[in-house]
Amino acid sequence: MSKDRTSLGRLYLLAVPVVLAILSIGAALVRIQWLEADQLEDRAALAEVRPIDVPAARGNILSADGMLLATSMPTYTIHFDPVVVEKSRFEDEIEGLCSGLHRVLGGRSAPQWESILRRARTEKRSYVPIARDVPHETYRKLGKLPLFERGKIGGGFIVVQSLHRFQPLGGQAARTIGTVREQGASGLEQAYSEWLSGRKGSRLAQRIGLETWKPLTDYNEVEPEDGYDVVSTLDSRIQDLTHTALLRTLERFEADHGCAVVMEVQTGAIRAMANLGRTQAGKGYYEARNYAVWESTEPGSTFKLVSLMSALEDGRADTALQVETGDGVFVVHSAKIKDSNVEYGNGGYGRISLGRAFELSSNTGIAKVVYQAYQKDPAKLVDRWYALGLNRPLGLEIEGEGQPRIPRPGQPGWSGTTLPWMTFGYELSFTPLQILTVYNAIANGGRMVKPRFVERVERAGETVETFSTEVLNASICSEKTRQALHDLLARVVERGTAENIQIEGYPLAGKTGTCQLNYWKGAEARSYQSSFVGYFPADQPRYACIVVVQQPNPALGYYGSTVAAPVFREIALGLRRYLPSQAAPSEAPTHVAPRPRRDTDRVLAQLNGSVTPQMRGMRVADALALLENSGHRVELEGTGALVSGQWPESGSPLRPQTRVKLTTR
Amino acid sequence: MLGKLIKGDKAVWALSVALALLSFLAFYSASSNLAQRSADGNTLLFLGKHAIHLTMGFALMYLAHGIPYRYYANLSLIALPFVVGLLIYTLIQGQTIGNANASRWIRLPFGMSFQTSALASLVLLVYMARYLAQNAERKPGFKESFVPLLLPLLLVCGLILPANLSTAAMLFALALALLFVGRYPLKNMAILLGIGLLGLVSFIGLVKVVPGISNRVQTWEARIERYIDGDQAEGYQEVKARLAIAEGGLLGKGAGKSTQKYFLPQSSSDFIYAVIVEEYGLVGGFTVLLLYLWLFIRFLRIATKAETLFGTLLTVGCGSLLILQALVNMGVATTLLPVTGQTLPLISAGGSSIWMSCLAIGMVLSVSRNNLGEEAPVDLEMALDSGFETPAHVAH
Repeated sequence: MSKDRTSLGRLYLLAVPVVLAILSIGAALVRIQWLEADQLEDRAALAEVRPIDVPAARGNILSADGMLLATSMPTYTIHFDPVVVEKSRFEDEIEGLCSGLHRVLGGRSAPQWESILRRARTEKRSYVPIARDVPHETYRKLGKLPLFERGKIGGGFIVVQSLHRFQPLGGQAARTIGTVREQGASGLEQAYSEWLSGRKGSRLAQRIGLETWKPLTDYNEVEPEDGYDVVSTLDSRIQDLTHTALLRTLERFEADHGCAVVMEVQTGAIRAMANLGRTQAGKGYYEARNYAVWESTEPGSTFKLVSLMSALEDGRADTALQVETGDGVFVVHSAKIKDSNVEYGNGGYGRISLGRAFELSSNTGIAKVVYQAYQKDPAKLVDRWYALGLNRPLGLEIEGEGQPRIPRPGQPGWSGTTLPWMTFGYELSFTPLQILTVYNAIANGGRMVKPRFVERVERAGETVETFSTEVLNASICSEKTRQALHDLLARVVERGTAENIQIEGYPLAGKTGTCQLNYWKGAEARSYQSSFVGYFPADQPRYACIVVVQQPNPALGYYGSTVAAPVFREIALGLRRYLPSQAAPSEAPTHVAPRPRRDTDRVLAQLNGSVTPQMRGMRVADALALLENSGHRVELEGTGALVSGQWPESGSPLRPQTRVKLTTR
Repeated sequence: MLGKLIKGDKAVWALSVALALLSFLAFYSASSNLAQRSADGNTLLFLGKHAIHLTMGFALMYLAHGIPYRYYANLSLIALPFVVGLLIYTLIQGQTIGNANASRWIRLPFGMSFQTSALASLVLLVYMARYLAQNAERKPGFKESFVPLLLPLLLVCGLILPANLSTAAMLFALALALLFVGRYPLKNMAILLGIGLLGLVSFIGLVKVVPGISNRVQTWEARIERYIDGDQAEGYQEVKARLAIAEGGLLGKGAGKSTQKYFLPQSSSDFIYAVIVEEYGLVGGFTVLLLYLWLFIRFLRIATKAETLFGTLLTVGCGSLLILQALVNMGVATTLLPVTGQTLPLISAGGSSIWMSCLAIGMVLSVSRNNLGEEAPVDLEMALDSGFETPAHVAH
């Protein structure tokens, strides 16, 4: 042996520290676990458990007649990953999948799908879009197709569920209902967001990754409080009528855009508001902007009502006053005010009464009288309008109201022609709703009420808050003046510019407006704003209505009487059967139609007790969630948002895992 | 059949395989932290890399155990200048890995990297074992042994020191242990210790006077201060490591359920032991500890049974390198020691650590093979050629 005892002895000596080290490591493990564990675990819990948000369901927006205007529905976006699928399986089932895709989704043919999916597989693209934001029904059908039925890992079926805000009226009143977005929410969605959004709850979650948290418990620390339902003043039937009438006219006159609003005279409730603009492609119209709320323009002749009202109130004119319209040209400060018939050669109306000038919408007639009445003190006229509050926006709930503009004497921009031109509606600007509000006041006995969009706020059908009519001005003029103006408005239809819209036995009142949008340009470049505003029935006003059509094709017509007034007529005619004197009681809009029920607790209790609950009237989204969470399969028929029918019937026993059929409307 | 392919101490083989298998369990979970930080969050990618590292390591181990251990003496003679050059290159060109700001790494092809100091430590220990074995009978004095024995040690430690204090210190300690077993005079060892401490102090002094040479000194200071101050200023990693151990309990949370792994910056290497305890509890922790203890006992046995002093010293050098690394790693994870960059041999991620551990075990296995008389007679001539004392009962 070459090694001596010393080496071996020293070797064993070396083992001592190693054994000691191992012992102390073992001891440290035990010590940390037993002595420090409690204290350490508290700290661990603090660092890795935190509350996360539990979203609240957003409330619905309903129409006054109980239709859903906006609701949240789960939608499904489907992608396909052709790369994860095994080659043999892909080859076996691709044909079946593609013909299925064609059958369920329409659009692309089966061979088209096949070439798309094959190409994606060779190019190793693992996120091929199949369908975007489709309803549950379509998702369920897609999930049963070959390959897709194998799920995500085996079949590359990738599903992302999201809550989609959905407007069941399909685009009608879309701007008024509005949108929910992180930024740039609009319409009622924005105005009543606090009611609709509810309060989010929270639950504890444990950190399982850098930014990944998993729920720690199966209960919520703070239950989310679902949003309230907002019942709007809009009536789906009146909205449909208004929308259709406006759309037809825009199409017929190839107009750029337009709006039509129906307001309930006494309450100020907006029953319909259509805002249609041309699509980018120039084909067709959609709710592009809320023109009625936003677009402030020179009103033109419809404003003659306001200038005449002031002159009558101040006693500086009366409707019988004779005025010389001559050949239809009135020269003020070397500028010409012309009547609309001047261009056809037979200008002017000769010597007529002021009232007749209004009925014929004679610019010279109105301008001569009102201008001369206030020539010396134009401020008196303008002050009167300020006193009426016409210079201020109405303060609508819906954001984005256009500013009215009324120039004041002495302010920059005031010139010698300002006053005469103002008298027939130029040099100042208002939104359609602001003009409508004034006309509504004439119809409403002089009482000016604010247009409103919401009747009440409710939860599960129980009213939580109601909104009443806000009076802006209890009396905008004397009853004498109002009566005179009312008579004039009725006569405009009887024998004036809007003679063409008369309805036998159904008196209408209103005023046409034809406004040159760019009068400073040459005749060939001109475009027009054609409007009509009034109310009906003239003898017992129920609804006020304004129609504004922007830039109709002049070759097809541009006068308020030809373009806008017929829309007003169509709406008035359509609403006739809802009027108390005309309609059978059952037909009248009662505005208490069935509303979606949200009594989930009752339904849950019944489901747990194996009894089929009553689901009619429930939101499809709620019914789906409750049934599927209880282990039942749901077959949906129709694409509506509310449950209208069910099988099995309510009250009948419901065995676990039953297939439940729901029809929707 | 296996016995024909695999020679040497079967227990060491079994323990190595056991540790490697354990590494998969621990690593798969712990590496999800790494995977999550990387682009695609693919744990399998990291696991695959780890499997490749281990496969290469075991191939290396098999290769090393087949080479008669005498060859390592002369191999170390050739390798020593090479690793010194490599260390200098690393220090200048060194790569940092991830967020670790220590330049200890050089890049290899196929996206791998290599920690030079691990190889250098092994080569130096073998080299020293060779010198001690050759000169054991002559008992050379301090002056005589300084250039051939102590200078290489001081050089290698000095080159590792700027980037990696703990490895340098460990290597120095292992060298002292080797000298001790190799019957090097205690007096000379005391002088060597003095020189070593003096070198360390002057290096720190130099860095303080001329800042910018190395950023490691501040890290050491911070870590040591933290360690000495104890609970008052606990480092992030230490707290998380203790939390992991505390949460483990007796049986652990279960495979893959560790939460602390997301917070431990080096959960798949430096702190993998803490993650093992969190997921597999005290039982898992003690199992790992006992596996290393068993391995150590086997090493001790091979060292005592070795027929030559070189065999003994080779086993002591390689074996204690492995065991010390394991102890330091577990000591850090249990916060007995300040944070160092030592890996848990065969379990931690990292190619160079695994390969060097396997190489060390391979060399020990080669010694054990000889003990069992499995060596071919051809090697006798080689042994004689290399000028060793003839083993007493080599012929059979």
